[in-house]
Amino acid sequence: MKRLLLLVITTIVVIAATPWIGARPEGEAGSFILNELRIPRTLMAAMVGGLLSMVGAVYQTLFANPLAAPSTVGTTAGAVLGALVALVLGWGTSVSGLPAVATAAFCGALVVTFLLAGLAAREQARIDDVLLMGVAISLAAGAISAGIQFTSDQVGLANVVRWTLGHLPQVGYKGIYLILPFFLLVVAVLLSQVRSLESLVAGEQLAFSQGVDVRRTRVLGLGVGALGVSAVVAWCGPIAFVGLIVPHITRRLLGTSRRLLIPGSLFCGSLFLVLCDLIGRSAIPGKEVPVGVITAALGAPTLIALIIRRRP
Amino acid sequence: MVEAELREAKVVRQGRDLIRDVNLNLTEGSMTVLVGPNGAGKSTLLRSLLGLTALDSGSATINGTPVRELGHRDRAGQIGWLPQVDEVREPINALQYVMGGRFRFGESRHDSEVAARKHLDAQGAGELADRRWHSLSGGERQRVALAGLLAQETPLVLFDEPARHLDPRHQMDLYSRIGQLASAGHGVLCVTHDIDQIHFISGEDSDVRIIGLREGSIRFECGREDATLPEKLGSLFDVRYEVVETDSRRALIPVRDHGPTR
Repeated sequence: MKRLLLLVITTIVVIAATPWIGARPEGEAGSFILNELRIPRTLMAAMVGGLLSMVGAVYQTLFANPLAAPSTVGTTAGAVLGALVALVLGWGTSVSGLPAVATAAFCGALVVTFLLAGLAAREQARIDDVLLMGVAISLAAGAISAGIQFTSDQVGLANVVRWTLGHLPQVGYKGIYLILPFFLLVVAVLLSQVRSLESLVAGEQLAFSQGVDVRRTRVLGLGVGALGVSAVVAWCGPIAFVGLIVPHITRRLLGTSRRLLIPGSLFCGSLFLVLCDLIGRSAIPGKEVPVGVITAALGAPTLIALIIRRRP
Repeated sequence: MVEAELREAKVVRQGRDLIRDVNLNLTEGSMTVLVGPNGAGKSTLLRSLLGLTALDSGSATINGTPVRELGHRDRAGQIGWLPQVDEVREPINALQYVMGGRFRFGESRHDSEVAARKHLDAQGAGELADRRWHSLSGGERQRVALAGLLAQETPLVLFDEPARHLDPRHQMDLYSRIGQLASAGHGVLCVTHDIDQIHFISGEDSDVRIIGLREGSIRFECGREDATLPEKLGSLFDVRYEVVETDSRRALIPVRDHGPTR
């Protein structure tokens, strides 16, 4: 509990401090940079990182598998496929005020989510099958994506590559307003399921006999989680590794109790992505490295180190 | 008086009847031992009573209400289960495991913990509270699991081969604990194929009822002291039992039967 509190405080301090790190904002331009660029962007990173990581922690519990994450159960792949179609076809810039790419990505992710949640809700569904289906969908979507990229022209391809690296596009607060309702919904629903998720750790069937509504927890966790991830991926592209790695880092910090792990993953994810973005925008002066590159570059070695140092 | 009942219960999977025409009731204060060879449908029968497995025909009820129509917490307040397969997949400690049994109460975490410790102590497992599940020995695990089941505080309790993998002393110890549950007013249904172990279920004041299950249907039902029990068990398992009277009890020794098998 103390550690969780420490994590929460650290995260809040870092989020509050981050906009002021970097070239000192001066004058009118400086105030624009601070208020319209850095602050919304930091807030965005905090929400996106927290959401992805928390959903990852819930997926890992639901699937009883350390490799379950938004990127491995197909949500991300569905979004990428939707976005690719929009990018390559060069669809107009907006659908009722939203970028066509984001809208298409959101739809792609939702289709996959409904497929999975539908399977998970079935009486006889084994959770392993749900995960396998997610992996299969990811592979299929990946193949179609590769096909689309192969046949697209240079401009389309460049757009695709940029998008698939993951980024936190921010001017002003539009993205914040878009993601915030999803963020709040995901946090509220997933926190409401913590007790049930904790019981699942001793086995789904035992949990059922103890009074846990396993099906409801599955469908809520998977469905609402994926809904939030769909929104995030639609807006920011597939930000790699956060949903997979951060829950494992959190577990090392706070232990395996879901009561600490799930809220802890939320704050740890926020902290991780805010820091990654800070590195991304300040590592190379005058240039910006997409945040997805940083998360993968930091996340992969972290995972490897965790595995090697893993206690039996 | 809580009563769980299976009536004309039938479960079909892939064209095969896992159980069929099963009629069985379980009431508070009774002790029933369900025996049968591997694949007889014993676990399926338990799972039907719990509502984990849907029946293809017939009914599974608790106090007259179909078990699968009960609310999850309501059902968990009536009937509890110690499963055969250990599905614990993370390094939780014994206390956390037992706290799982408190889920249905929707109480504060503090209250859950107090209750869980009480039940661990009652099973002589208080000192195991902080031990990781996977570091426990087989005997310790079963004591913790029993504490978890009793923490759920249900009138009816089901056991699925609880003494599997235990050494003789722990087997005796566990079965006598299970026997005490019926004396204390629980309705107990215990699946096993350790015929000999039935005798360690002490229950002087409560009659122990033996039900034989084979190929999904009930073949016999009788008291533990029934004189024809060895014969009935013999045909259930396709072996012959020699009865040996020792100073303390009647023991059944299985011997290979060269006679024609049924």
